[in-house]
Amino acid sequence: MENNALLWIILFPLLSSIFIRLYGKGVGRKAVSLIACSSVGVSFVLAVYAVLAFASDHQVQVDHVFLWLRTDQLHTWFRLSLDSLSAVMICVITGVGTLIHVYSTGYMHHEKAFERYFAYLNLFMAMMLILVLADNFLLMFVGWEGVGLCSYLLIGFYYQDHKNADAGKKAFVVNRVGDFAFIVGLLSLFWALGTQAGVWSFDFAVIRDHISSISSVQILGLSAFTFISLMMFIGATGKSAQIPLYVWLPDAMAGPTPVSALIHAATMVTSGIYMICRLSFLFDAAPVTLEVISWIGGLTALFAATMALVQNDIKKVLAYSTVSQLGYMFLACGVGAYASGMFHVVTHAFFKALLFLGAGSVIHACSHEQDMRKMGGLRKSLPITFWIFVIGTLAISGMFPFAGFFSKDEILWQLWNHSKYLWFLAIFTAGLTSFYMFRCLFMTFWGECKLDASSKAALHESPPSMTIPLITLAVLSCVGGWVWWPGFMPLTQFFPHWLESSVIVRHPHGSHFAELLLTALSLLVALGSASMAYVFYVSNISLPQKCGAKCKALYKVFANLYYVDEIYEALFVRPCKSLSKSLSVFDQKYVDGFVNGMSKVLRLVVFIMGSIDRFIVDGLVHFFAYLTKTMGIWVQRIQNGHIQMYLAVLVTGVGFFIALYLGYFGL
Amino acid sequence: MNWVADNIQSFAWFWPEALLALGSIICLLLSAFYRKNVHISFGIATVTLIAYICVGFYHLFFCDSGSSNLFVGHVKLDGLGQLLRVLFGFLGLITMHMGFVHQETRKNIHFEEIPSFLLVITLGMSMMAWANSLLMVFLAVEMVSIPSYILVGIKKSDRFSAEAGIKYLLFGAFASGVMLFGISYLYGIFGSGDFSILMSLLDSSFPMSSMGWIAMSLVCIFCGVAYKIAAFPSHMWCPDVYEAAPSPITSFLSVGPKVAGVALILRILLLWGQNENLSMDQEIGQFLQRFLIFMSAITMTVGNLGALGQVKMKRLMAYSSIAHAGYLLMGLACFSTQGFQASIIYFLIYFFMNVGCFYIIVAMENEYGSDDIQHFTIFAKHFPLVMALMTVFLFSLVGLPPFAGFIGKFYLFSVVIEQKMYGLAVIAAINTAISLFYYAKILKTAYFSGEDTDIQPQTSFSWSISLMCILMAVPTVFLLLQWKPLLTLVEKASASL
Amino acid sequence: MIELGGLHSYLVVGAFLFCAGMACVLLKRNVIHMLMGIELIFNASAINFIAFDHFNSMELSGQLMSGQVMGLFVIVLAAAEAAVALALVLAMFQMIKTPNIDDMSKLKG
Repeated sequence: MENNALLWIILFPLLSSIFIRLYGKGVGRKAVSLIACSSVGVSFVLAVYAVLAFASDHQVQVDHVFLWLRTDQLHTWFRLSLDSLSAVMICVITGVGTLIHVYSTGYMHHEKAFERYFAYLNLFMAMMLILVLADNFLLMFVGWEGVGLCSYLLIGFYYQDHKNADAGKKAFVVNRVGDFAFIVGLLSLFWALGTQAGVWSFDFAVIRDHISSISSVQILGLSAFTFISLMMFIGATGKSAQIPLYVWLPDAMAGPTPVSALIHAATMVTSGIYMICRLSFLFDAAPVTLEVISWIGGLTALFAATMALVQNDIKKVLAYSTVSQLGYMFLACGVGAYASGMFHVVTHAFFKALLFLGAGSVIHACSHEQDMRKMGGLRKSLPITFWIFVIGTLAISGMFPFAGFFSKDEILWQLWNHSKYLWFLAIFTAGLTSFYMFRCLFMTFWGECKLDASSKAALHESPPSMTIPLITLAVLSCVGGWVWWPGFMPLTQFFPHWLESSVIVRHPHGSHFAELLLTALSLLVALGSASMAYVFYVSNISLPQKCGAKCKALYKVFANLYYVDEIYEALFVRPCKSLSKSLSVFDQKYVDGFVNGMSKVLRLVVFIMGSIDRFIVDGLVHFFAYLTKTMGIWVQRIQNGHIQMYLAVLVTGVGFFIALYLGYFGL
Repeated sequence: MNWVADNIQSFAWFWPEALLALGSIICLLLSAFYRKNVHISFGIATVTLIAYICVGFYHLFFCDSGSSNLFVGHVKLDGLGQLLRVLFGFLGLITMHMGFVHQETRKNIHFEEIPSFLLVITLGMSMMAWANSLLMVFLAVEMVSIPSYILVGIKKSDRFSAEAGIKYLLFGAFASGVMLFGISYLYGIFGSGDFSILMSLLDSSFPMSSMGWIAMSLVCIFCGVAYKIAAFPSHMWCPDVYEAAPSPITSFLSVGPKVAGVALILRILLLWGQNENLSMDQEIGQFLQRFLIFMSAITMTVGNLGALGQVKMKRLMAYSSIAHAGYLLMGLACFSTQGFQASIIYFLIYFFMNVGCFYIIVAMENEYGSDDIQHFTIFAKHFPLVMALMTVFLFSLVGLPPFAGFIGKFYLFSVVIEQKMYGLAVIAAINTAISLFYYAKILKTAYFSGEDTDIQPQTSFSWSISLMCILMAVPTVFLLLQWKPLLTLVEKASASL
Repeated sequence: MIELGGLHSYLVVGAFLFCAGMACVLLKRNVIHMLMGIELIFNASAINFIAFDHFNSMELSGQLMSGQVMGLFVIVLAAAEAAVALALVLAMFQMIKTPNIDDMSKLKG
């Protein structure tokens, strides 16, 4: 069904971004905040409207904007379509986005480049919406790249500090590697479909209909399904920060905190999951890829959780936590539980945004102090922040009845039915998650305040523009999970039913009792870890020190992030740099030398041509002019003033014409 | 006796011309007996000419075009004749005005004799345009020539003017003699001078053995008429006569007899061109076309080449008018109605351009006493607006858009190419390019010389000259935009050919 | 067969007179002599006209223009021309005092 609201969902933030970028400085901060927030707010309202329209008539909402590419066989439209999967995404994106915009008006209040921030933030919203609303690969790729660009712009927002600009660059380059794989996968799919089925199209619907026709194709020794889906998954790892392309996410914390909340918690990083769910029909046909996905997801989850254990920067903890949770989502998708993965996306958006914004609130209150070792005892000074942080921590740890409980347990249940190893991995990671999150909570809000005197004096609760979004997100973190109750509870399973129309939904076979037991087990693990954290960081504060001293090596590895960055630096970055240097030398010596030599040859040629022009061409021209002038002088000379000469010419003329006649016709 | 009645009836159509003759006689008598008072004779001449023009207009626009043979077939009044009647009337008026305005003419010549001569020449030119028999050809040519010999040599105590008069006379008499010789043979072969009879005789087969004689006589006739239009081989008088005659007379000569001569050649060509099939089947027709092509090409070339080195404006205009005669012949050489129409369009436009040019030459002679091209420098300085009009005329003479000369040339070129005479077209194009040089040389002298001389204008600029210049410039410019009326006029004129 | 006293004889005479006249015009130094030559040319044509008129049969010609009428016209016009010519020559003579045509060749180029 044609629904033109879809275009406007994208256009409002886009136009607002352009306007703010161009005229933001002119209209003033209040207007800028108003325009930015309301544009996203309006998008949210339109999104809800579109989703309701979809829900009422159960038909995919489509908005044909314009015919983008047209060749003989390929017709690609700029067309937006809303089905149940994108409905979920746009509600989350615009909803959480609006809250974060409102939060930003308070958080970025002292910022000089206020307008630039909001322009980029709105642009990001528009790009993300294009990504999820696109109904063909090309348009999705536009959004894909667009969010990458905005991520770069926003991470490097405080570009005056070299490190921040570097972080932005790192994010962009790492993303690029993933995008390369994505394009390889996309073009292989295009080629395979085209050559096998004669279908040249990038539309999801068309690809889905004809996907079975490429079952026999082999690319590089792998089946087409496997190859394509593997390439696309590598693209997803770049965007969603999985092994091996996760290294940019922790560095991305150099950007403003609301940016981390929006982009690196709630939306951009989930685009990889979205892409996999969108292509669930393809991934289901490639079991090899699914295995790869699940193991990489699981390992990433574990990996990141271990690194989060030893971080001291509050934002870094949350960053690694994000990577870890993303690993969970991939884990879910890898076992075919696409719906569970999406569910975790939604709940994660709520509580991770909440946590990031709360951390932002803390940082704002502590005069931009981010090291948790220097905080402490803030729960008295920042009550609201404290309570929402508590809610967020409970949610991420998977405590009933907060949002994280439902999604995490759903994933664990799916894993149990698929592979016990993965289940064990996941539950161990869940324990670690609970531990480090509570560690973070306790270190920040309990104990004595270790801030310096001036910061302590300046401690204040955040303004309403920041607390109201926090509270809203807290509420969502509470109730957000209530759309999918576990099977043994006779409550709504709205979410999977909603997603059924666009994603493959699997309901594992297993007894409700087993599910209940597993749920109880995970809850126990979470509580256990929480209490352990309490012991370590509240009651017996010296304990972490002692543990750290005992397993120094392990601690070092964790703290130095497994030296992954150093490995990458040695393996990839340094050779690349030296190659570029040698190429530059080559360019200077040989290429430039060649060009200079050519220029000498050219000068010679030009000289020859110039001579030709001067002597021959000009000579010709001069010759004709001389000829004409000479003939003119002859004519003048004939006119010598003697009338008898004139008459003689007359007689000669008559004779000439008579001769002409005789010549032509004879006598 | 029917021819007597016919002659009397013809006066019903012919009375304006008779009026001209009468006016001429009256003016002559007046100038003889009332020497001091110029204005009376000029007034009478003006009135006569105005009446002539009015009648001409009336006939041209309000009577249906048809042709009538007057005077038992000697003279044929048709659309072309009516058109040219009006043209010649205007030319007469303009020349008289120019004479009044040109101060050297007022002082140095027998000014009071001009009106009567002008009237007679006007009558003669109209007869040239209406000629329908060999007698009329000769008579009209003489009627134009003899008074113009006098007009050329009319300056008192100017040996150059007298010399020009003698040259003009000798040349003209000789050429007329040659023409008459040709006419005599043509008459002799066909037994009659009437064009209608000649046409019908040419329709059926005529003695093949006489073809050489016919060709020779035609050559003689054309070379004689070529004298009137200043075409090769009878073009040599042109530069000397134009240079030394008084400027209004030069201007008159450059337009009037030329147009009349072209019309006359047209009439003669119509003997062959009336029936399209006829012209090409017969050798005479083919020969005539070749003859005209050669004449046109050589005339153009001689005219344009001769003008390259000139320093005096009137001499330059003389060579330029030789070249324009070549262009006019180009259209006539086409032997088709379109060709004739192209020539008619061209000489109508030529009328405006040339008269405009001569007005400015008259003005320059008024101010600085000489027509040296170098004087244009200060002329441009003192009278920039008039110089701008001169630019218009000069570019129009070259045939550059956006002026009317372009239309004329365009039509000529198109008919020439239509008839597949590519060689002639190429020669004409080269000649146009050469002509740009000497016209632009005038402009270069005017605008880019940068010399400063101290010569001051002798009088203030006559307003009437400016007015006439503007009047001449207006059609030159606007005919490019709106040449449709011109075209309709010409088509109307040639419809009855 | 060319018969004596026929059309051809007259035409030859006419042609001869024409050439004589042309020679006079082209070769003589005196302006008056040149004018005489021009008169000869005109009269040559007149002879032609009258000869043709006499010898051609009537059915070819119309009543329009007999050669004799033409001859009359030629004489009249030749006379007119001569009159004008002499007037001009006289004016010139008063200025340069010589009838030599070479002195009347100042306009050149």
